[in-house]
Amino acid sequence: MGERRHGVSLGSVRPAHLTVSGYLDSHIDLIKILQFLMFLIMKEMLRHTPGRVYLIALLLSVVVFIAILVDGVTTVPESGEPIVLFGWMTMPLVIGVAFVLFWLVAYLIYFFVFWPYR
Amino acid sequence: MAATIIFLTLFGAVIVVMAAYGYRISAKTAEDYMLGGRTIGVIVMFFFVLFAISSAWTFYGFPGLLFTQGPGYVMFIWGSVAGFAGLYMFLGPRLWALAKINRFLSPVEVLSERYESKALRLILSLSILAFIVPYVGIQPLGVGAGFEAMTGLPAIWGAAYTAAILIVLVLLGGMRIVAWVNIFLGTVYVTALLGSLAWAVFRLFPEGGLASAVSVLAEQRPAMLATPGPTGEFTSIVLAGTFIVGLLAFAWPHVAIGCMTARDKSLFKWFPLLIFVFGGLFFYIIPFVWGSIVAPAAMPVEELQALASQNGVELQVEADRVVQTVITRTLPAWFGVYVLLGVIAAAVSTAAVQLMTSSVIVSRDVIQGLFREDATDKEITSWARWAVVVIVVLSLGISFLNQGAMALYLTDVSVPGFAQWAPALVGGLLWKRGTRQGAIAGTLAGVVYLVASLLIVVDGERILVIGHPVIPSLLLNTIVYMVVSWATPRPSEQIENQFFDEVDAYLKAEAT
Repeated sequence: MGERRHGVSLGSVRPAHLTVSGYLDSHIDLIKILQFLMFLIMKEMLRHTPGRVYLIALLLSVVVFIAILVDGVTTVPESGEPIVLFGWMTMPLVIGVAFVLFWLVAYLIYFFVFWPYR
Repeated sequence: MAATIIFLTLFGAVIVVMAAYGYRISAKTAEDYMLGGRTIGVIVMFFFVLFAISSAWTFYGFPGLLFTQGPGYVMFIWGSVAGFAGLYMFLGPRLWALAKINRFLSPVEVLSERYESKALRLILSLSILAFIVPYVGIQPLGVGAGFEAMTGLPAIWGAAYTAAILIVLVLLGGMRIVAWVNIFLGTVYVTALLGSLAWAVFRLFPEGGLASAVSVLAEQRPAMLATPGPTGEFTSIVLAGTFIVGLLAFAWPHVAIGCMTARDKSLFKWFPLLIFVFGGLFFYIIPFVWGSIVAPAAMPVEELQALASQNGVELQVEADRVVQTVITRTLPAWFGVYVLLGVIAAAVSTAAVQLMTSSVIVSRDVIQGLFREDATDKEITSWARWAVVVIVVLSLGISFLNQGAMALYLTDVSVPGFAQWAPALVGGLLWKRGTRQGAIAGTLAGVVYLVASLLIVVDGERILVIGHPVIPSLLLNTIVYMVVSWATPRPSEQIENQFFDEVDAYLKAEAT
């Protein structure tokens, strides 16, 4: 790798990116670097990713839930009429049901496909 | 009245017979009495845990607070559903495996061995008992309130009846029968709660049902349909705080001990499904609809205020029994009795598990752990049974002397108290670097701050409470735990191996 880099940038008469071999060499280096980075990421993914993604998804849902509470989604909107779904579901109920449904779907995917102790 | 007594007698008899049967078939060992022999399967566990956490509070306290302060309090439920599921998804398998491999009988014992500290065992035992015992007493008193609302007789009769059932059930049956009886109690509870709601809506709002009730509220009390509610209490920050307090449900000791009774690890795969589907999307919506829509539409707050004045109690105390009051006024008398049985079922199912947990801690952690390490199985079980009687009497006395609004006792006192062992629990199971010194310092700091914040009142304000009692105390607890753990030598390799490596290997290898 060191030799190629040498050939690409220092050993050529013309700038490396203007020669075919230099072009290929420089991109081969880039590809190798990308491959190395992908390997690192993949290694990480192979080790823990489903659990980590699951945990991050749940934590994010908690953060988002709190954020929309603070944002006032359960309060009376400017129109002055409280939002009621299906004639009886008030917003504190609606957002809670949505939150539980999200956790349910995430749980089903993780525990029935990825759970390491299954 | 005669019918009420007959119903109550039959109900009590069923529980006593089940408890006696449980005593007859039990293995008479400490493990069998305290953890049901670690043989609880997923369905029994579901009833066991769901109705351990669904107390008289769910039927009275929760709708009562919704009635006076609007729908914002439901955030506690959404947080709790996530908290309970989190316990069984993340901590439960490790707690179960550790207890099974090492024959631990209580969660406090697990932590005292993990941190190699008898001092921590005493601190955790005392702090858990201090917050759980008064809550045990609230259950019979909650029943007493409903009993009074329905029959007009003094509340103490209902409380005494419930306490007697509790003692017999826990004394004879142990954890396995408490779990089994919860199936019976849970069935009565759900049918009473759902049946009363459906029937009351049919009677009160025959045209349009719940939509009609919402229309009544939109006209008479529109603040009930959104936050911050009629009193303006549930601001955005309070809503978020209430949700976070709910998330801490994973640290309720009487729920955590349930993990240790599991038959195998497959339970932890299936259990969250029941929590989400049955608990979050069905069961807890029933009392929400009762307290935030049906009861306030059926009974104007002014009428309830007048009733409270007539009974010489505060509005919130009267609101705690508003569901029973609406049922008594709307539905046939015999169904009112059935609903009361449902409330008794709710109270007994929770208090019995709390009692079992408390008695296990007294017997295994305090008496045997600190004073009589060589105690036999028979002695441990005997102490646990004696502890049941003492705890019931003590808890009733404490609760009777400090009567207040049920909902707020749970969220403002019990939950912050239960949360104080959470850092030591989570760290002990998941963080290898957590040390004995960290656990002791963190727990002590959190408990002392919490008690001080509840007791120190200046000009009617609890000056040490920031947002909610649990927030500063738990934050302090966690920070102290982590900082002290980092500053002290890491646990030995033997502890790391026993509490982390072995558990991982066991969970991966154990056939389901």
